[in-house]
Amino acid sequence: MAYAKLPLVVQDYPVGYQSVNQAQANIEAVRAAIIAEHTNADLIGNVGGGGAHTGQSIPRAVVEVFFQRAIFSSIGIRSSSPRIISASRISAGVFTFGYAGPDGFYALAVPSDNGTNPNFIACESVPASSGVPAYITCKTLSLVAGDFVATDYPFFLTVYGTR
Amino acid sequence: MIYFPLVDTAWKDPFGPQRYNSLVSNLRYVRANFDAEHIRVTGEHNVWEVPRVCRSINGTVVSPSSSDITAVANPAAGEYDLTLAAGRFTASRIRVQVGAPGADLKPWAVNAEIVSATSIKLRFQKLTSALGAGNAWAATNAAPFSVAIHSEPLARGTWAAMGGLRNAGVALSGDTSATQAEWSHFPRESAAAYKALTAAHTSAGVHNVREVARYYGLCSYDPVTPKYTVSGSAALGAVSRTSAGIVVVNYTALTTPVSAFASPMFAASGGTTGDTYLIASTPGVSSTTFYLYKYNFAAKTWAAADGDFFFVIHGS
Repeated sequence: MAYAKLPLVVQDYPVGYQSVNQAQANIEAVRAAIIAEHTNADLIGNVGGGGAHTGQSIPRAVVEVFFQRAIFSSIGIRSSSPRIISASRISAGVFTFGYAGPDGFYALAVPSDNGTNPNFIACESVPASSGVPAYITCKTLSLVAGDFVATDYPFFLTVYGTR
Repeated sequence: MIYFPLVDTAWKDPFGPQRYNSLVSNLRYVRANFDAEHIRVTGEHNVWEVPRVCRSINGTVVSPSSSDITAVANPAAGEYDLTLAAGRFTASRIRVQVGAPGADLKPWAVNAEIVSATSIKLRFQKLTSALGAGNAWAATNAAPFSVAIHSEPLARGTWAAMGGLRNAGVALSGDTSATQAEWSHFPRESAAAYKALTAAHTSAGVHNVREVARYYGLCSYDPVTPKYTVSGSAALGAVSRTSAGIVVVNYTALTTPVSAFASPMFAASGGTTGDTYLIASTPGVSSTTFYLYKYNFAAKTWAAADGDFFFVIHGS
């Protein structure tokens, strides 16, 4: 039964069985709409925890990878996402991120540097295979003397894909 | 907190404590589920992964107008200073996605600097060399481009108190029926939940705000034919390859402006980790054209090139 607004009752207003049914239906209408594009949990024994967005229209992770210039080999992640389970700097401008989630994930990165050099970032999303967990590599490139070379700078990493 | 599927009552059925408890529990359940990634009462999305604002920017015009991006300045070629609303973003907790324009038939390099909680500077640079002949870049105005700005979740707000309702499980056999005040909580709070839900979703729960992409898809390149195939949202239509690196994806019409973001895939396209693509796009009402460019590290030049990519389309 679709949602239908119910009147508030006043003294001596009878609440008949149809009002009870509509009250139930209204709550169910909201629940059904929420789970259309959000997670739900089993109705039996459910202890909550639903409501997360499903579907590939919404990124699975949105993080900032920041670079500690004082500690040259150290990077960190702000706004940590449960999907990004590790972050490593392999060499100048080359990073890998462990990814926890179903295959079918696609990384997109935007430089967050304050410089004026042309920068762009090449990301490769590698599914898990043969015991090797899924991971993402990002190569942060900057134009130096007419060529794009791997260079350290911070960036925003967005990961789309299957929930 | 448990959700109880309830069967309908019939004429003369009593409204007993068990049904009362179940209704209270169910109402709290839907509130909790909605709370997880939305602001209470207003219904706005409230999770890192959903951008707080997603817009198209053409010159200094934000389209459609936004209370979150209150102004755009273009102080120098290729530079865009976005003024953000106070209290909606946190300086160290802003994340940005940018979709570069495709009409110029050249790759773009974009940098997003977070200046403060109310200011973002975007720098666009475009390849000025001809494709296949050089690697010179210059700051250039980009029009139009797509931007999505994420930030940490805001305070969730509060639902109206359900203090007049006994907690689920409290009503016992032999209790008198709900009072008028207690009963009125059900229609009142159900209406509030429904209003919050439909602020950013249809009554069926489908997202219908610009901040959540309307369509998504994976374009796969078949180098033998050559051609592209697309899988993803049901609303996607035919995909065609105009020429090397130029792909048109059709879909059920949206209301302009439309924003697009694309993510290249390297390994899946048969390339190696040395492949590096940039993707620009021209989003439209019923189709978006994607332009793929590949960097040749040996020759230090760019070329239009085919490859697999994932995309999302935002619109109304």
